Amino acid sequence: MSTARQEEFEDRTPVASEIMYHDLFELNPQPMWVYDVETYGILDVNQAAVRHYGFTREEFLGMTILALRPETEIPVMLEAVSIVRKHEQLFSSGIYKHRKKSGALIDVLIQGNIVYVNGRKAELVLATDITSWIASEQERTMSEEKFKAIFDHTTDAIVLCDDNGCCTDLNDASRRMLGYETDELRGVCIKDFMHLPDEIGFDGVWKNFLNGEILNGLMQIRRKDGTLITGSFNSKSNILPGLHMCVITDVTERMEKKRELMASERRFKALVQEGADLIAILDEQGNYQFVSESCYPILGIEPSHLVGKNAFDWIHPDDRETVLALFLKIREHRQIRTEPFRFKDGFGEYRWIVTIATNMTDDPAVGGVVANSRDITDAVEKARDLEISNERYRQQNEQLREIAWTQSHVVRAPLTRLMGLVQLLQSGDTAGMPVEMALELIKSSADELDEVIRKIVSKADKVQNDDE
Amino acid sequence: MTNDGLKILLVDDDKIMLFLHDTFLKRSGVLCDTVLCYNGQEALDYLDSNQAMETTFLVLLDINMPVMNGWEFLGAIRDRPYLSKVLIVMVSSATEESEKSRALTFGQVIDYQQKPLTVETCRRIIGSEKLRRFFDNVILE
Repeated sequence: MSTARQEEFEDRTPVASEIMYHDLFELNPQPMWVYDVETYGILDVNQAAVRHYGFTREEFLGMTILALRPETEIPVMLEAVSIVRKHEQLFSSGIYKHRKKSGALIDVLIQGNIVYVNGRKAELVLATDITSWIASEQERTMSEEKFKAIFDHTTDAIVLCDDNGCCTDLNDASRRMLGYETDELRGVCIKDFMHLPDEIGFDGVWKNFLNGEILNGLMQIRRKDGTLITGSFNSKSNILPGLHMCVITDVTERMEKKRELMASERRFKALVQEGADLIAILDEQGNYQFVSESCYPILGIEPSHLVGKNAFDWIHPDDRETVLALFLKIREHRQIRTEPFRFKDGFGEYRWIVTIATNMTDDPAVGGVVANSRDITDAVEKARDLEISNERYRQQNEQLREIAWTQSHVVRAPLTRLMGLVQLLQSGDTAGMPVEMALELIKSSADELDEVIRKIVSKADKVQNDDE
Repeated sequence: MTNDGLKILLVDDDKIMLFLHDTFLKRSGVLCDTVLCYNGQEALDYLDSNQAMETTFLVLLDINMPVMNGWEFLGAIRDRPYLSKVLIVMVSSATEESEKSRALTFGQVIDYQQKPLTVETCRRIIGSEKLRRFFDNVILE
């Protein structure tokens, strides 16, 4: 408004339009004020400014606009006002920091226009508090940066597609995983590197996906060099209208390790669960923590029946003390080997067992004493049979030795007498013994010899019969 | 001609064998007295009662005998230092080498012969080098 027009209005009753424009200033919901560009003094202020800044109207009118600025902002403000001073007409705008009466700082969008009040150059200012907007903008920017950082730096491949399944954007992980340059993949349909089974058509899968079906699972992905990798994928359609996302994790190595682990577990199962030995893990008190499946075929006891129970309750009372004393040495010796001992099986019979116990309580994967037990009942029984057999042979040998001794002593007694008598007769001089007597002695010696031989034969028969 | 310094004890529970050995011994030409004993105890008693004699005794000793067998007799002799001059020839019907080895572990056993003795055997015993060490003048016919 020009100075001339303003002066004209002061001397007469305002018209309706003037009242309306005054109300537009006074009742405007946005804070407004007018200040003198030479003195910075506030010439007028509306109600919204009073409400928003906390100063009364009188306080405003006694202030300069410098009082609305924090110290650091004053040079900026002075520079802005200096520009206004240089122009007759100027619409200016800018974002500044203001200070309320409470001292709180706010961000404001200042829009100003040059006016003349009582012939003095002034600026009408409209202040819009944009503190919340700036904060939300900063938050939004940070959020975008955060998500961009995730997109760029995640090790998972993130592929964005359009409705046709053509790649519109990919992150660096996609490039590394697939072996393509990013530009090579833009516009390429994902079916070109998805290795679907022959019986599954891409078009049907994609159609269902676009209809809201969430696709996830494992799939084979063909890299640029032709090699196949295994990807765990998770897809979501329409994350934005017409934009679909697929996140792929390369699990090739993990799957390989899983296969190796499974193979290892199968070997473990073959060795531990289905082997001929009974494998168990006990705590240091001898309580079963784990018992292999081989327990049932060996002992006729379900493994679950033993877990939590004390192994020594199954050991024969006569053997228990010895085995317990040895077991207690497991703290001093990493490994102990028992002598054969008796262990009650599921049928109440005792089986002969030998055990090698290894202390693996320090190994967190085991956390106990590993007991490897073998049923040697058959071997023990065979050894016992052999012992009995040996004893029988020993007795036989004793009897045979007795026979030999008898032969040597009992047989030879009449025989030597016979030989001596024959020698005497042969000499032609019986040394006073009548020949008839010598002959009678020969006969009696021969009879004695015959009797002894019969006894020997009878005894030998008896030994043989006893053996049979 | 007799040898007053030597007496031969024939120890056997078999009287016929004693008769035969005594006969064969005399036919072998040895000129000394023989004493017949039917078990080890009789022989031991005889030696005990004649220990004062200036005589050395040769015992032809059977093993298997009642009352005191040959092994028990050997043990008893070993326990009697005053009978250290007694020499022994084992005469047994046993054929085991182990018997012979066992017998020769006794220091006073100079020979081991199987029954029956013959005239020739008796002659070898009497004329043996071992016996000669004790009797420089063992007299044979």
